Amino acid sequence: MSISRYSGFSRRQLLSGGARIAGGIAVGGGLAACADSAGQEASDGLAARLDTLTTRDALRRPGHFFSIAQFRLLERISDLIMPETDTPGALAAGVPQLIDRMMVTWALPETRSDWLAGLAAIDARARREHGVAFARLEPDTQFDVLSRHDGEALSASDRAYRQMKSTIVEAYYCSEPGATEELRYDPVPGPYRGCVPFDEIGRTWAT
Amino acid sequence: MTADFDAIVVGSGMSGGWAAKELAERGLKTLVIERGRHIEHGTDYTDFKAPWELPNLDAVPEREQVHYGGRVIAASTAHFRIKEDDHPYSVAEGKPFRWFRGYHLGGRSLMWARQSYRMSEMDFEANKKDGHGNDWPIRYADLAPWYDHVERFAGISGQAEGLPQLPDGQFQPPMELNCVEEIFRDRLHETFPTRRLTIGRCAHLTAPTAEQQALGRGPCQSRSLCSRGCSYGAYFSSLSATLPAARKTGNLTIVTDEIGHSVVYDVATGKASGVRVVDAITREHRVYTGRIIFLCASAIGSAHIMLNSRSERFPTGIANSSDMLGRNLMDHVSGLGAGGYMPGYTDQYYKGRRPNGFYIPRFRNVTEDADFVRGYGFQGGASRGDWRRGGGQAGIGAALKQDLRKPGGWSVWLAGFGEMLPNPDNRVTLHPTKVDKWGIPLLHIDCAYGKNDLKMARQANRDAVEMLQAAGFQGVNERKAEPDEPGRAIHEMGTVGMGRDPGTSVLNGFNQAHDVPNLFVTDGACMASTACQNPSLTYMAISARAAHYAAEFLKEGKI
Repeated sequence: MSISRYSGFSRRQLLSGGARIAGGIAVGGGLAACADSAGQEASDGLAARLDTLTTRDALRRPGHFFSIAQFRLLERISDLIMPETDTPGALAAGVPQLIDRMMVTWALPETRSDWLAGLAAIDARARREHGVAFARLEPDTQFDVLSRHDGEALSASDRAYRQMKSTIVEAYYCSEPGATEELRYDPVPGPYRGCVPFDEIGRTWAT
Repeated sequence: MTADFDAIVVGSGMSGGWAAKELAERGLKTLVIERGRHIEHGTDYTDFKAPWELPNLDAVPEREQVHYGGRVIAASTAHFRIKEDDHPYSVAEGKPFRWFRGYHLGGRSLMWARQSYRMSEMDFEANKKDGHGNDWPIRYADLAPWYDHVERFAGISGQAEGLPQLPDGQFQPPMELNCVEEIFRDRLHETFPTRRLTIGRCAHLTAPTAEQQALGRGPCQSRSLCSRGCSYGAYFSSLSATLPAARKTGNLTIVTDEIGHSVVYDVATGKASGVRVVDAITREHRVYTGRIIFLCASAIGSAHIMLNSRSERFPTGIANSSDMLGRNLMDHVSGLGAGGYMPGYTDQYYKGRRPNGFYIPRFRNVTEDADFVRGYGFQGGASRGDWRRGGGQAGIGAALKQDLRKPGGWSVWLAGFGEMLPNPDNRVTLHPTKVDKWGIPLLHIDCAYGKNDLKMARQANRDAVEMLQAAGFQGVNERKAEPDEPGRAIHEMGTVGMGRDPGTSVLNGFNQAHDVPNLFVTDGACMASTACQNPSLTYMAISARAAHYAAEFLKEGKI
């Protein structure tokens, strides 16, 4: 399976629902039938109340959970937490798409609300500290805002942020590039060896 | 009268698989009745899916968690989990009990933790010595050759230690301890010379025999995907081992999706004549006739069927003239133990995901005294942190990625399993009014720990903390102050207990009902005490032994 490096969606691709990410996670198409319409409405109601996230909030792609603005924000956060380095990052691994799909096929309304609240809190911090939406900040400033948010939210046991971060981390290391390029993945190790110098392995086991 | 089958076995799990194999190999036309669906070894497993091939990070959709008691279930193992709301049971007020079940071909032999330990002479003598429960009608010497027999066939890897409280067996080569476990072992032995740490004895092939290979079984690949089913057949299950062996005889018939309803009693012969089943799909009733009946439907399940087998002769359930049917429900006292971390040794790692840990055999009331009777053993393991720590630690970006490239520090866990005393007031009964969707009365469970059990739990926590601290672990904490509710160890036993006296027990020393000579119960229900070892190996040995004698008795015209 080939992994294409993330190049970013154009807004038109997002609107047309024609975007696809290689790397094992297909998005768009065929998901609409799985959407839980009642849950979607509840989340929409919450989103509408979150006045910090108004930009293009009404724009949705069929079969997806996050609005375009929310999805853009999720992409930036995923990218900032697990960036491309000498190995692919969260975007190439399709992490935001996987999370969007989980919101549609997996999450209960309360969990969806947590995610919206978690995203909104980061955007709110950007507006509070810099007067503009998180998405409009320079990358270095975004990193700085999210770093401080990360430290404070984790030490305050912020459930929504903790869930967001651990899901992004998990989705990345369970992806093919995360497991096989960033870490060591051995599907069939054979006999267990109990004491092996770390240098012989070199990196954390993915599983 | 001609019976449909020579032998009927209800249940296809750990005990039923063994009963079926041994009966079929002795030439008996054998029917196995499984209440759950058919599972095909290999093709119905999910063990070749990579992490990125599992949707939703392998979590069952949140809205479906309600079917699993609100728990987060791995989607890749959900095919071995019942939807609990389809199979309700009731518990006495203020006495929680968790009843884990495996309703599919192979039963919980596909879900077990595969730890395999022999009971010892002191375990079989315990009831008689301290007066709790019925004296076991067998002793270690009765079972030892059958332990040998089942270990050779099942394949148990382990290290011989020469301990009287944990007899050695027919072991395949042991798995390795890792570095920190070896350090723990050495320091433990130094500080507590009469305590031992040994590699877990587990039902995984490390050097398959020709017999095992002929069944299509291969060595353990250290993938630790056992709970999805093992396509290598490396761990023992009914599907990898006993049922294929039984099938080879040509004497085996299996029906699935048929729920054991009751044992049919023939007042004219004084024997059981067959088993009534309810078709799980059509809800039709039918009766299979057989010359001998083996109930292997799990401790609570077998009692359930017997309680529901009411007749004029046995108005409260078949073979219940003693009023002991359903009584003495036990589990292991679990949820105990401690954890901690070991600084350093960051240049050491391991290769493979060992589906096994270490074991500290019982020392209380063996080499060290206690203010309670019986004792407990500890399972445990040490490992290094993986990327999961990244979700909760501060930091983002390239630095976080770089940090998670290296494994985290070493941590260790110890989990105690204690012997719960038999108590006739801990029992299962039929619910007076409620029935399940097949019209079978629900089971009502009334079970709680006694004083000895709780005293033991507190000492187990203290011992766990003390051992870890003595070995240099830091941040040592007990897991929780009180044990988990009974049932959580998934080692439920008792309810159709063995004993010498027909007035106080249901089964004799051959697992034969005192009242109904062709009815045998060989699963956890038969246990007169729990010992503290994981019990499956004992169910295997007892089932094989009982099948041997049942076939002999049948041949001799005794039953």
